Amino acid sequence: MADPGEVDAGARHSPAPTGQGFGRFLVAVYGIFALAATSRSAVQLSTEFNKAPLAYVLSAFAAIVYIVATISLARGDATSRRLATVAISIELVGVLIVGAMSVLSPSVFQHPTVWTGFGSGYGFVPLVLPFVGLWWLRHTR
Amino acid sequence: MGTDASRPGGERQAIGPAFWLLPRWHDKIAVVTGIYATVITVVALLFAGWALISAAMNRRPTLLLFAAAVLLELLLLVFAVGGIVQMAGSSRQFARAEFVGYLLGCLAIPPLAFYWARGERSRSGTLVIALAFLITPVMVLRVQQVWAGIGG
Repeated sequence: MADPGEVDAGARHSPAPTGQGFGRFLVAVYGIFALAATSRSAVQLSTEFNKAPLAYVLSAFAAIVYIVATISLARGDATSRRLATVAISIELVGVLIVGAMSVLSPSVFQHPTVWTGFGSGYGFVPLVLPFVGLWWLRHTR
Repeated sequence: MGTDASRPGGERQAIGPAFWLLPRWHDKIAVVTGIYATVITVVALLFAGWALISAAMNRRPTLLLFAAAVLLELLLLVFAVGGIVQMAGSSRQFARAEFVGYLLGCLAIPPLAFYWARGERSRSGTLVIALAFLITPVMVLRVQQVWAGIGG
């Protein structure tokens, strides 16, 4: 991962780096979810994909979203910032839609993903995280 | 935690011929996911408490905290090697790839936290280390669960 400070060293009015201060902690939390979602979907896709293709494809998708959010927040240059905003927005929509669907029609989501039940399997952190992420992107602008 | 489950009865039957020494250790060998895993859990939680208190006192990560991360990594290295030996000594059906995956996943946590907290001169660095200490028991628990055959 690049040093967040050196990327926009020459720019005036450059936004504050997203990977320092509180962002250091936030990136670590995103990193944990990137790892958790990736390993979960790796196991699901490799061993039991046919059981619940939709849930497992969603798991993999969530994993990618978390990976992109982690890396782009850690880098924190202008492009990464835009990428982080997109990824975290997708994350927010994802956890809300998958959360709502898993509550409304549990039969479709018998096989859990990170976002099932609004992330209840992970202490609802997946629900809180995108709000914090978007707040942090605004805060450091 | 799961000490009963870590010694299932089906294990006694066939030992792979390649592991000629292992039958002798057979009864002791679940010690890695048993008592040793508990030791790691306790150590990690104590370290986590210390890191969280440091963070609450607004301290940046100290050298001692980084040393604790290194110590935990050493414990986890022994855990990974011991866990693979334990797995090799068992002929039971369980998710072996997942088991090794979680063992290696444990190993990745302290170095990543070390690297990521290193440049941070605020309490956030301390919190990053605290997170690593908090996540480690969860990963160790998953190792124990996979060994016991609990899916997830």
